[in-house]
Amino acid sequence: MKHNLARRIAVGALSVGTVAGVVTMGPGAAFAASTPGATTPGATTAGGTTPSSPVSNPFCTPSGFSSAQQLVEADLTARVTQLNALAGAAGNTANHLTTGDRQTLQNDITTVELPGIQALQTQAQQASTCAGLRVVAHSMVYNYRVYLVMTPQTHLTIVIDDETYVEGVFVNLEPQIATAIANAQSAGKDVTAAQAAFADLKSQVTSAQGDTTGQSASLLAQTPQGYPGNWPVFLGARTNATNAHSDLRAAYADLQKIKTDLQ
Amino acid sequence: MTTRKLTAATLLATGALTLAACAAGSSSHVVQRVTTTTSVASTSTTVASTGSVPVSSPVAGTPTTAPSAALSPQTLDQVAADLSSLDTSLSTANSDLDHPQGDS
Repeated sequence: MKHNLARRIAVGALSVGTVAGVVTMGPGAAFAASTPGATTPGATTAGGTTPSSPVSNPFCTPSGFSSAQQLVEADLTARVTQLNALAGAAGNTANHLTTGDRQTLQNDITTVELPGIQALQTQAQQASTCAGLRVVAHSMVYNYRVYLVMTPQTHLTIVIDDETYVEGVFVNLEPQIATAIANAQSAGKDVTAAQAAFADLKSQVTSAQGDTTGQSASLLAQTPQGYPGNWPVFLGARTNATNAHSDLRAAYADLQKIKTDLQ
Repeated sequence: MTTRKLTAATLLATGALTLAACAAGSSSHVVQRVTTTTSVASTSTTVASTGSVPVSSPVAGTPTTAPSAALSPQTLDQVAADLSSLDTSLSTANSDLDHPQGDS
C-alpha cells in the first residue's frame, strides 16, 4: 500500500473543500458516498465500470443533530467491526497470502485504517455542530473507503494469492504425473487419454498463472483516495480471479481423469 | 595328552560358537535386505510386461512409487480442499463487489 495517514488526511482535506456542497447527512451511510450498484437513478450496477454519482441528501439540522450524530457513530462502529474482520482475514494463516502481501494488508488495516476510524469516533462524539459532524462523516467515507476499497482489496488479494498457491501445487505435481504416465506406458497401458488430460492440465495451470500474475501487486497499490477511479481495477482483478478459478477447477478435473485412467 | 585334547576341543567349541554367532548376526541383516527387496518388488510388479517374470519376482529398474505419490487420494483430497477454500474466498470477494456493505 502506497498511501499513509498523512497523505490521506491531506487528500481528505482537499476533498472536503471541493465537494462540500454534496456532502450529505442522510440516513444510512450515504454521507458523500458514491456507491457502485446503488439504486440512485443513473447509477450503474456493481459490475459496471462507472460508479454512481454522489448523492446529496442533507439531513443534519440543529434540531436533528443528535440523531445525525448517532448515525455517524453507528457507521464508524460498523467500520471498526469491518476492519477488525479484514485484519482477521489478513492474519488468518489458513489462507495462502504471501508474507509480503499479508504484512502490507495488516499494516494498512491496523496502523492506518483502524486508528484513523477510531480517531473519527472520538471526533464524532465531540462534535457539536452539523458542520463538524459533516467533516467527520466525509473523512470516514473519502479518506478510508472501508467498504469500497479496503474490503475488496483484502479479499481479492487473498483470492489471488490462494490461486497462486494452488497453481504452485499443480506445478509441483507435474513431474510426478509425467513419471506416473511414463511408468504406466512402460507397463503396456494405453495412456493416450491420460496424456491428453495431462497436456490440458498444464495448459490450464499456465492460463491460471497468466490470470493471476501481477494482480496482487496491482490490488495492493490501490488507495482509498483512488476511488472511484480504481473501481475498474477491482472489477478486472475479479474477472481474472474468476477465470483462474475456472482454470484450476479444470486442472483438477484433469488430475482426477489421469488418476482414473492410470488405475 | 588328555589335557591337550581337552584344550583342542575347547578351542574348537569356542570357534564353533563364534561362527554361529556371526552367522546369526549376518542372517538378521539378510532378513532386512530381503524385506526391503520384497517391498520394492511388490510395488514394481506391474512393470513385468514380458509375462515370463513371476509376479512376485523383483524387477530391475526404478520402482514405480511416483504414481501413488502424485495421484494418491490424499493428494487429490488436499487439492480439492484448497479449491473448496478458494470457492469460499472468491464468493466473498464477489459479494464485496456486487453488494458492498454500507455504501462506502
